[in-house]
Amino acid sequence: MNDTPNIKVEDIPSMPEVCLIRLSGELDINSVAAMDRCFTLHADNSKKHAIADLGNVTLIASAALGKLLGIKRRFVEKGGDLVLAAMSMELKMKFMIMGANKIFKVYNDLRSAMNAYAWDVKHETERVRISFPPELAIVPAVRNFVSRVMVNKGYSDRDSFRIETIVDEICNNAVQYGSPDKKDNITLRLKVDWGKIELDAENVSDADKKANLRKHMDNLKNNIHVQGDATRGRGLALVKMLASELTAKITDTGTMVHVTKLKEE
Amino acid sequence: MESQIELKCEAVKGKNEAQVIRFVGDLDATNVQTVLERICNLFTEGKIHIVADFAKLRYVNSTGLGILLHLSKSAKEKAGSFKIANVNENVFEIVEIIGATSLLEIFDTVEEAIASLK
Repeated sequence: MNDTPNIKVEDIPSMPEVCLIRLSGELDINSVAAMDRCFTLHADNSKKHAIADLGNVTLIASAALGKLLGIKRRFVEKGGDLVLAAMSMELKMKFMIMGANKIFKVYNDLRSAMNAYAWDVKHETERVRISFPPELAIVPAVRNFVSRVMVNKGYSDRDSFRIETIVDEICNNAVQYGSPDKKDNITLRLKVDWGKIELDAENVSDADKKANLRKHMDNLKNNIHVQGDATRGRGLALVKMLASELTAKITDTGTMVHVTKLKEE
Repeated sequence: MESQIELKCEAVKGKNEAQVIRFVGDLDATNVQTVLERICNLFTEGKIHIVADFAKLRYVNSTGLGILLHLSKSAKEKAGSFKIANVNENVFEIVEIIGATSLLEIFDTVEEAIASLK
Protein backbone atom coordinates (compact mmCIF):
# COMPACT_ATOMS: atom_id res chain seq x y z
CA MET A 1 0.00 0.00 0.00
CA ASN A 2 1.34 3.41 -0.93
CA ASP A 3 0.50 6.33 1.29
CA THR A 4 0.45 10.07 0.89
CA PRO A 5 -2.05 12.23 2.77
CA ASN A 6 -4.69 12.19 0.03
CA ILE A 7 -4.09 9.32 -2.31
CA LYS A 8 -3.57 5.56 -2.09
CA VAL A 9 -3.18 3.29 -5.07
CA GLU A 10 -4.33 -0.30 -4.49
CA ASP A 11 -4.97 -3.50 -6.38
CA ILE A 12 -8.39 -5.11 -6.56
CA PRO A 13 -7.74 -8.84 -5.98
CA SER A 14 -10.76 -9.99 -8.03
CA MET A 15 -9.91 -7.62 -10.89
CA PRO A 16 -6.15 -7.71 -11.44
CA GLU A 17 -6.36 -5.44 -14.48
CA VAL A 18 -8.07 -2.64 -12.51
CA CYS A 19 -6.33 -0.17 -10.25
CA LEU A 20 -8.17 1.36 -7.28
CA ILE A 21 -7.29 4.94 -6.41
CA ARG A 22 -8.54 5.96 -2.98
CA LEU A 23 -8.68 9.70 -2.48
CA SER A 24 -9.54 11.42 0.77
CA GLY A 25 -9.86 14.79 2.48
CA GLU A 26 -9.65 18.11 0.73
CA LEU A 27 -8.22 17.88 -2.75
CA ASP A 28 -7.04 21.41 -3.28
CA ILE A 29 -4.20 22.98 -5.21
CA ASN A 30 -1.70 21.77 -2.59
CA SER A 31 -2.72 18.15 -3.18
CA VAL A 32 -2.08 18.16 -6.89
CA ALA A 33 1.66 17.64 -6.76
CA ALA A 34 1.29 14.83 -4.20
CA MET A 35 -1.42 13.17 -6.29
CA ASP A 36 0.74 13.29 -9.36
CA ARG A 37 3.86 12.04 -7.55
CA CYS A 38 2.09 9.21 -5.81
CA PHE A 39 0.24 8.07 -8.87
CA THR A 40 3.28 8.17 -11.14
CA LEU A 41 5.36 6.31 -8.58
CA HIS A 42 2.94 3.56 -7.70
CA ALA A 43 0.47 3.05 -10.49
CA ASP A 44 1.11 -0.18 -12.34
CA ASN A 45 1.59 0.61 -16.01
CA SER A 46 0.10 -2.71 -17.04
CA LYS A 47 -3.33 -1.70 -15.71
CA LYS A 48 -5.61 -0.17 -18.29
CA HIS A 49 -8.52 0.68 -16.03
CA ALA A 50 -8.93 2.56 -12.78
CA ILE A 51 -11.67 3.36 -10.31
CA ALA A 52 -11.24 6.45 -8.15
CA ASP A 53 -13.00 6.04 -4.80
CA LEU A 54 -14.00 9.53 -3.68
CA GLY A 55 -16.00 8.34 -0.66
CA ASN A 56 -13.80 10.23 1.78
CA VAL A 57 -13.23 13.35 -0.29
CA THR A 58 -14.76 16.46 1.25
CA LEU A 59 -13.71 19.04 -1.32
CA ILE A 60 -12.31 18.99 -4.80
CA ALA A 61 -10.76 22.10 -6.31
CA SER A 62 -10.60 22.69 -10.03
CA ALA A 63 -6.81 22.11 -10.00
CA ALA A 64 -7.35 18.63 -8.51
CA LEU A 65 -10.08 17.94 -11.01
CA GLY A 66 -7.65 18.88 -13.76
CA LYS A 67 -5.16 16.41 -12.31
CA LEU A 68 -7.81 13.65 -12.29
CA LEU A 69 -8.50 14.49 -15.91
CA GLY A 70 -4.80 14.06 -16.64
CA ILE A 71 -4.78 10.67 -14.91
CA LYS A 72 -7.91 9.67 -16.83
CA ARG A 73 -6.15 10.63 -20.09
CA ARG A 74 -3.28 8.23 -19.29
CA PHE A 75 -5.75 5.34 -18.96
CA VAL A 76 -7.70 6.32 -22.05
CA GLU A 77 -4.45 6.38 -24.05
CA LYS A 78 -3.91 2.75 -22.98
CA GLY A 79 -7.40 1.86 -24.22
CA GLY A 80 -8.97 1.93 -20.76
CA ASP A 81 -10.65 4.50 -18.54
CA LEU A 82 -10.74 6.11 -15.11
CA VAL A 83 -14.18 6.17 -13.52
CA LEU A 84 -15.30 7.79 -10.28
CA ALA A 85 -17.24 6.23 -7.41
CA ALA A 86 -18.88 7.00 -4.06
CA MET A 87 -19.03 10.79 -4.27
CA SER A 88 -21.10 12.62 -1.69
CA MET A 89 -24.19 14.45 -2.94
CA GLU A 90 -22.46 17.77 -2.37
CA LEU A 91 -19.46 16.71 -4.45
CA LYS A 92 -21.73 15.35 -7.18
CA MET A 93 -23.51 18.69 -7.39
CA LYS A 94 -20.18 20.49 -7.67
CA PHE A 95 -19.11 18.04 -10.38
CA MET A 96 -22.27 18.78 -12.31
CA ILE A 97 -21.80 22.53 -12.01
CA MET A 98 -18.25 22.15 -13.34
CA GLY A 99 -19.57 19.93 -16.15
CA ALA A 100 -17.27 17.07 -15.05
CA ASN A 101 -20.14 14.58 -15.08
CA LYS A 102 -19.98 14.80 -18.88
CA ILE A 103 -16.33 13.78 -18.86
CA PHE A 104 -16.23 11.10 -16.16
CA LYS A 105 -18.44 8.08 -15.65
CA VAL A 106 -19.72 8.39 -12.10
CA TYR A 107 -21.05 5.51 -9.95
CA ASN A 108 -22.88 5.67 -6.64
CA ASP A 109 -20.49 3.29 -4.92
CA LEU A 110 -17.43 1.16 -5.46
CA ARG A 111 -19.47 -2.02 -5.95
CA SER A 112 -21.50 -0.39 -8.75
CA ALA A 113 -18.31 0.79 -10.46
CA MET A 114 -16.84 -2.73 -10.25
CA ASN A 115 -20.08 -4.28 -11.56
CA ALA A 116 -20.17 -1.80 -14.42
CA TYR A 117 -16.58 -2.68 -15.30
CA ALA A 118 -17.40 -6.42 -15.23
CA TRP A 119 -20.37 -5.77 -17.54
CA ASP A 120 -19.03 -3.04 -19.86
CA VAL A 121 -15.45 -4.21 -20.28
CA LYS A 122 -15.34 -7.88 -19.38
CA HIS A 123 -18.83 -8.59 -20.75
CA GLU A 124 -19.47 -10.83 -17.78
CA THR A 125 -22.89 -12.41 -17.28
CA GLU A 126 -25.16 -10.85 -14.66
CA ARG A 127 -27.40 -13.14 -12.66
CA VAL A 128 -30.50 -12.05 -10.78
CA ARG A 129 -32.76 -14.24 -8.66
CA ILE A 130 -36.20 -13.07 -7.56
CA SER A 131 -38.38 -15.10 -5.24
CA PHE A 132 -41.93 -14.05 -4.46
CA PRO A 133 -45.19 -15.51 -3.13
CA PRO A 134 -47.76 -16.65 -5.70
CA GLU A 135 -49.84 -13.46 -5.81
CA LEU A 136 -50.91 -11.66 -8.98
CA ALA A 137 -50.52 -8.27 -7.31
CA ILE A 138 -46.75 -8.79 -6.99
CA VAL A 139 -46.18 -9.56 -10.69
CA PRO A 140 -46.25 -5.92 -11.96
CA ALA A 141 -43.42 -4.99 -9.58
CA VAL A 142 -41.39 -8.01 -10.74
CA ARG A 143 -41.86 -7.27 -14.44
CA ASN A 144 -41.10 -3.56 -13.95
CA PHE A 145 -37.94 -4.43 -12.07
CA VAL A 146 -36.75 -6.78 -14.83
CA SER A 147 -37.55 -4.18 -17.47
CA ARG A 148 -35.43 -1.62 -15.59
CA VAL A 149 -32.57 -4.12 -15.33
CA MET A 150 -32.69 -4.61 -19.10
CA VAL A 151 -32.68 -0.87 -19.84
CA ASN A 152 -29.81 -0.51 -17.39
CA LYS A 153 -27.93 -3.25 -19.23
CA GLY A 154 -28.20 -1.37 -22.51
CA TYR A 155 -31.14 -3.23 -24.03
CA SER A 156 -33.39 -1.03 -26.17
CA ASP A 157 -36.76 0.16 -24.89
CA ARG A 158 -38.43 -2.18 -27.39
CA ASP A 159 -36.43 -5.24 -26.27
CA SER A 160 -36.96 -4.33 -22.61
CA PHE A 161 -40.71 -4.05 -23.23
CA ARG A 162 -40.74 -7.47 -24.89
CA ILE A 163 -38.83 -8.99 -21.97
CA GLU A 164 -41.18 -7.26 -19.54
CA THR A 165 -44.09 -8.90 -21.37
CA ILE A 166 -42.44 -12.33 -21.25
CA VAL A 167 -41.79 -12.00 -17.51
CA ASP A 168 -45.35 -10.83 -16.90
CA GLU A 169 -46.89 -13.72 -18.80
CA ILE A 170 -44.74 -16.50 -17.34
CA CYS A 171 -45.16 -15.15 -13.80
CA ASN A 172 -48.93 -14.79 -14.25
CA ASN A 173 -49.05 -18.40 -15.46
CA ALA A 174 -46.97 -19.52 -12.49
CA VAL A 175 -49.49 -17.83 -10.17
CA GLN A 176 -52.50 -19.10 -12.10
CA TYR A 177 -51.40 -22.72 -12.50
CA GLY A 178 -49.13 -23.14 -9.49
CA SER A 179 -49.74 -23.87 -5.85
CA PRO A 180 -51.75 -21.08 -4.16
CA ASP A 181 -49.95 -21.71 -0.87
CA LYS A 182 -48.24 -18.42 0.06
CA LYS A 183 -45.23 -20.39 1.34
CA ASP A 184 -44.64 -21.95 -2.11
CA ASN A 185 -42.66 -19.10 -3.60
CA ILE A 186 -42.22 -18.61 -7.33
CA THR A 187 -38.58 -18.25 -8.31
CA LEU A 188 -37.48 -16.27 -11.33
CA ARG A 189 -33.86 -16.51 -12.40
CA LEU A 190 -32.35 -14.17 -14.98
CA LYS A 191 -29.06 -14.70 -16.74
CA VAL A 192 -28.33 -11.49 -18.59
CA ASP A 193 -25.64 -11.38 -21.27
CA TRP A 194 -24.74 -8.71 -23.79
CA GLY A 195 -26.54 -10.51 -26.58
CA LYS A 196 -29.31 -12.44 -24.83
CA ILE A 197 -31.26 -13.04 -21.67
CA GLU A 198 -32.26 -16.41 -20.27
CA LEU A 199 -35.16 -16.66 -17.86
CA ASP A 200 -36.21 -19.57 -15.69
CA ALA A 201 -39.49 -19.46 -13.81
CA GLU A 202 -40.05 -22.23 -11.32
CA ASN A 203 -43.11 -22.90 -9.23
CA VAL A 204 -44.67 -25.64 -7.13
CA SER A 205 -47.43 -27.45 -9.00
CA ASP A 206 -51.06 -27.50 -8.10
CA ALA A 207 -52.44 -30.98 -8.77
CA ASP A 208 -55.85 -29.68 -9.90
CA LYS A 209 -54.52 -27.12 -12.37
CA LYS A 210 -51.62 -29.10 -13.81
CA ALA A 211 -53.75 -30.81 -16.45
CA ASN A 212 -54.91 -27.41 -17.74
CA LEU A 213 -51.36 -26.18 -18.10
CA ARG A 214 -50.38 -29.38 -19.94
CA LYS A 215 -53.32 -28.79 -22.30
CA HIS A 216 -52.13 -25.24 -22.99
CA MET A 217 -48.60 -26.45 -23.69
CA ASP A 218 -49.92 -29.15 -26.04
CA ASN A 219 -52.07 -26.60 -27.87
CA LEU A 220 -49.03 -24.42 -28.24
CA LYS A 221 -46.98 -27.29 -29.69
CA ASN A 222 -49.77 -28.16 -32.10
CA ASN A 223 -50.41 -24.51 -33.03
CA ILE A 224 -54.02 -24.63 -31.83
CA HIS A 225 -55.10 -21.03 -31.32
CA VAL A 226 -57.39 -19.54 -28.70
CA GLN A 227 -60.82 -18.48 -29.96
CA GLY A 228 -61.07 -14.83 -30.99
CA ASP A 229 -63.09 -13.44 -28.08
CA ALA A 230 -61.84 -15.72 -25.31
CA THR A 231 -60.52 -13.65 -22.41
CA ARG A 232 -57.68 -15.98 -21.36
CA GLY A 233 -55.21 -18.52 -22.72
CA ARG A 234 -53.04 -16.35 -24.98
CA GLY A 235 -50.16 -15.77 -22.58
CA LEU A 236 -47.93 -18.67 -23.55
CA ALA A 237 -48.63 -18.14 -27.26
CA LEU A 238 -47.50 -14.53 -26.82
CA VAL A 239 -44.34 -15.66 -25.01
CA LYS A 240 -43.65 -18.19 -27.76
CA MET A 241 -43.87 -15.43 -30.37
CA LEU A 242 -41.73 -12.95 -28.44
CA ALA A 243 -39.09 -15.42 -27.26
CA SER A 244 -36.28 -16.95 -29.25
CA GLU A 245 -36.83 -20.22 -27.41
CA LEU A 246 -39.47 -21.48 -24.99
CA THR A 247 -39.50 -24.80 -23.15
CA ALA A 248 -41.55 -26.00 -20.23
CA LYS A 249 -41.05 -28.96 -17.97
CA ILE A 250 -44.08 -30.04 -15.98
CA THR A 251 -43.39 -32.64 -13.31
CA ASP A 252 -45.47 -34.01 -10.46
CA THR A 253 -43.97 -31.52 -8.06
CA GLY A 254 -43.37 -28.40 -10.06
CA THR A 255 -43.18 -26.51 -13.32
CA MET A 256 -40.08 -24.97 -14.85
CA VAL A 257 -40.40 -22.63 -17.81
CA HIS A 258 -37.23 -21.67 -19.64
CA VAL A 259 -37.13 -18.74 -22.07
CA THR A 260 -34.25 -17.44 -24.15
CA LYS A 261 -34.59 -14.04 -25.74
CA LEU A 262 -31.92 -12.73 -28.06
CA LYS A 263 -31.18 -9.01 -28.10
CA GLU A 264 -32.72 -7.70 -31.31
CA GLU A 265 -32.08 -3.96 -31.33
CA MET B 1 -49.60 -3.42 -5.33
CA GLU B 2 -51.77 -3.80 -8.41
CA SER B 3 -50.85 -1.88 -11.55
CA GLN B 4 -52.15 1.63 -11.80
CA ILE B 5 -54.74 2.30 -14.44
CA GLU B 6 -56.90 5.35 -14.68
CA LEU B 7 -59.90 5.65 -16.96
CA LYS B 8 -60.97 9.18 -17.83
CA CYS B 9 -64.39 9.34 -19.46
CA GLU B 10 -65.52 12.13 -21.79
CA ALA B 11 -68.77 12.65 -23.62
CA VAL B 12 -68.79 12.98 -27.41
CA LYS B 13 -70.56 16.10 -28.63
CA GLY B 14 -73.67 15.26 -30.65
CA LYS B 15 -73.43 11.54 -29.98
CA ASN B 16 -75.27 10.64 -26.80
CA GLU B 17 -74.55 6.94 -27.05
CA ALA B 18 -70.81 7.46 -27.40
CA GLN B 19 -68.07 7.94 -24.84
CA VAL B 20 -64.34 8.49 -25.12
CA ILE B 21 -62.33 6.67 -22.46
CA ARG B 22 -58.72 7.69 -22.00
CA PHE B 23 -56.63 4.83 -20.56
CA VAL B 24 -53.69 5.96 -18.44
CA GLY B 25 -51.19 3.40 -17.08
CA ASP B 26 -50.81 -0.37 -17.47
CA LEU B 27 -53.62 -2.81 -18.31
CA ASP B 28 -52.88 -6.25 -16.91
CA ALA B 29 -54.23 -9.17 -14.91
CA THR B 30 -54.35 -7.11 -11.71
CA ASN B 31 -56.81 -4.51 -12.95
CA VAL B 32 -58.77 -6.01 -15.87
CA GLN B 33 -61.76 -6.68 -13.64
CA THR B 34 -61.99 -2.99 -12.67
CA VAL B 35 -61.80 -1.93 -16.31
CA LEU B 36 -64.37 -4.53 -17.35
CA GLU B 37 -66.82 -3.37 -14.67
CA ARG B 38 -66.40 0.33 -15.52
CA ILE B 39 -67.06 -0.20 -19.21
CA CYS B 40 -69.89 -2.68 -18.70
CA ASN B 41 -71.54 -0.05 -16.49
CA LEU B 42 -71.30 2.42 -19.38
CA PHE B 43 -72.96 -0.15 -21.67
CA THR B 44 -75.75 -0.47 -19.11
CA GLU B 45 -76.15 3.32 -19.10
CA GLY B 46 -76.67 3.19 -22.86
CA LYS B 47 -73.17 4.29 -23.86
CA ILE B 48 -72.77 1.53 -26.41
CA HIS B 49 -70.17 3.23 -28.61
CA ILE B 50 -66.83 3.39 -26.85
CA VAL B 51 -63.69 5.04 -28.21
CA ALA B 52 -60.71 3.90 -26.14
CA ASP B 53 -57.83 6.39 -26.32
CA PHE B 54 -54.59 4.47 -25.69
CA ALA B 55 -52.24 7.46 -26.03
CA LYS B 56 -51.24 7.06 -22.38
CA LEU B 57 -51.65 3.30 -22.10
CA ARG B 58 -48.04 2.19 -21.57
CA TYR B 59 -48.55 -1.56 -21.30
CA VAL B 60 -51.05 -4.29 -22.03
CA ASN B 61 -50.66 -8.03 -21.55
CA SER B 62 -52.59 -11.01 -22.89
CA THR B 63 -55.21 -10.82 -20.14
CA GLY B 64 -55.76 -7.13 -20.86
CA LEU B 65 -56.13 -7.86 -24.54
CA GLY B 66 -58.56 -10.67 -23.76
CA ILE B 67 -60.76 -8.14 -21.96
CA LEU B 68 -60.57 -5.69 -24.86
CA LEU B 69 -61.72 -8.46 -27.23
CA HIS B 70 -64.52 -9.35 -24.85
CA LEU B 71 -65.64 -5.70 -24.67
CA SER B 72 -65.55 -5.42 -28.44
CA LYS B 73 -67.79 -8.47 -28.75
CA SER B 74 -70.15 -7.21 -26.01
CA ALA B 75 -70.49 -3.81 -27.71
CA LYS B 76 -71.34 -5.45 -31.04
CA GLU B 77 -73.97 -7.62 -29.35
CA LYS B 78 -75.59 -4.39 -28.14
CA ALA B 79 -75.45 -2.92 -31.68
CA GLY B 80 -72.62 -0.67 -30.50
CA SER B 81 -68.89 -0.53 -31.12
CA PHE B 82 -65.58 -0.57 -29.26
CA LYS B 83 -62.90 1.39 -31.12
CA ILE B 84 -59.29 1.93 -30.16
CA ALA B 85 -57.09 4.91 -31.05
CA ASN B 86 -53.54 6.17 -30.49
CA VAL B 87 -51.98 2.79 -29.80
CA ASN B 88 -48.27 3.06 -29.05
CA GLU B 89 -45.72 0.92 -30.94
CA ASN B 90 -45.06 -1.52 -28.12
CA VAL B 91 -48.71 -2.14 -27.35
CA PHE B 92 -49.53 -2.42 -31.05
CA GLU B 93 -46.91 -5.14 -31.43
CA ILE B 94 -48.61 -7.19 -28.70
CA VAL B 95 -52.02 -6.68 -30.34
CA GLU B 96 -50.54 -7.74 -33.67
CA ILE B 97 -48.76 -10.85 -32.32
CA ILE B 98 -51.95 -12.03 -30.65
CA GLY B 99 -53.72 -11.60 -33.98
CA ALA B 100 -56.19 -9.09 -32.60
CA THR B 101 -55.71 -6.41 -35.26
CA SER B 102 -58.43 -8.03 -37.35
CA LEU B 103 -60.74 -8.39 -34.35
CA LEU B 104 -60.43 -4.88 -32.95
CA GLU B 105 -61.25 -1.61 -34.70
CA ILE B 106 -58.01 0.38 -34.50
CA PHE B 107 -57.64 4.03 -35.56
CA ASP B 108 -54.68 6.40 -35.66
CA THR B 109 -56.52 9.16 -33.79
CA VAL B 110 -59.55 9.61 -31.53
CA GLU B 111 -61.02 12.02 -34.09
CA GLU B 112 -60.89 9.36 -36.80
CA ALA B 113 -62.49 6.83 -34.46
CA ILE B 114 -65.29 9.29 -33.61
CA ALA B 115 -65.81 10.15 -37.27
CA SER B 116 -66.35 6.45 -38.02
CA LEU B 117 -69.26 6.23 -35.54
CA LYS B 118 -72.59 5.79 -37.27
